[in-house]
Amino acid sequence: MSRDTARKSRATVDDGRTVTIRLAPDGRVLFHDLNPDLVAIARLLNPLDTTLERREHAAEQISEDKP
Amino acid sequence: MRSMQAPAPENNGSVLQLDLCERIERAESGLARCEVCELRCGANRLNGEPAPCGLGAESYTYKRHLSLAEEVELLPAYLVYLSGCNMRCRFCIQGHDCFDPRRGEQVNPDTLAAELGCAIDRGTKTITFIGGEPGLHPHTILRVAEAAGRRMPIALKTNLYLTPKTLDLLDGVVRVYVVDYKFGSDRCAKSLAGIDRYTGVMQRNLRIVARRGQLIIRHLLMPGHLDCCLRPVAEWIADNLPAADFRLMEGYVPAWRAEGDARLGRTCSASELAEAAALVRSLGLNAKGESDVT
Repeated sequence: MSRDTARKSRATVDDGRTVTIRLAPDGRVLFHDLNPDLVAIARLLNPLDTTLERREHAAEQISEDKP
Repeated sequence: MRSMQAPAPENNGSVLQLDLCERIERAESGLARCEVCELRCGANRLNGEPAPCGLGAESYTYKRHLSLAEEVELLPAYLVYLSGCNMRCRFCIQGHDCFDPRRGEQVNPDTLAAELGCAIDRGTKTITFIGGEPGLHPHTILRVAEAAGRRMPIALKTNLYLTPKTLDLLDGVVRVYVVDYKFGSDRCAKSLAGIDRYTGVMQRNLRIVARRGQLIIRHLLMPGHLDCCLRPVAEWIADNLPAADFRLMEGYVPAWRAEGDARLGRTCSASELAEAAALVRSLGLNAKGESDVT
């Protein structure tokens, strides 16, 4: 894939939403819509993105135990 | 589903102070001659008279979910996408869904309030109304706020092309305004989104909401629109609202009618992104926060 492409891929994730993924000109992998399951993957793909650690921390604030 | 419980006294007090019942009455009666947004179409949304946005008195939601994208400080956020929009931005990434004013489920304020209460109880920090243009639904947002029985951490992701009357209705209910200041000139606003008087409306409204809650101003960098859009937007903010949080959005992708468009049908180049970042830095904008998706 070229680094200056507008091409994008769409994936449907477990909770039913559609996430768009594309390669930015600067080499980052951009996700439009980031659900909790994708944060760890996004971190692996974008090791220089300092926000992802905080996004992962935010995901941990959500309790799956409460109704 | 969360069982309805008595709200904490301090929260209940806040809700009462906002006088939601009176506001709901004003918001709903105003739909008979709609001036919710600056299109000021005057349509009677109560009897189905066609408005440019296509909205009636009911609101629909085409998507709701937990999100970890965009503004980090608002996360985890629960997003409620309300159908219908007053703009037709050629590059709208939600266009296929949000332009249809009846897309999705009809909002039942009691049911939605219970769902949002459940999300908050699970740890959600922000309830974000998005669209479409959520500001076209002040009556519904107020109904949901009333049904919640407690003050909710509501954020509005908005194009802010709204009348002062609508902003007054939402004052105090909305805690965070995330405003997309999209165009730097009336000419670009007209050609890309089909609206008039854009610049004056935005600058008036930004001054209003800056006094009313947390304000985050975003600008999506569009290819070929650095000098005509980003530059005047950034310079105005630097001159008039220098303390406001400013976010340069770099994730533009050509969507809807921008696909195949000679000017908008590409992503921003690396040199455009670098020039834009340099401009924001040179103006000394308060741009430390991060809004992009990753």
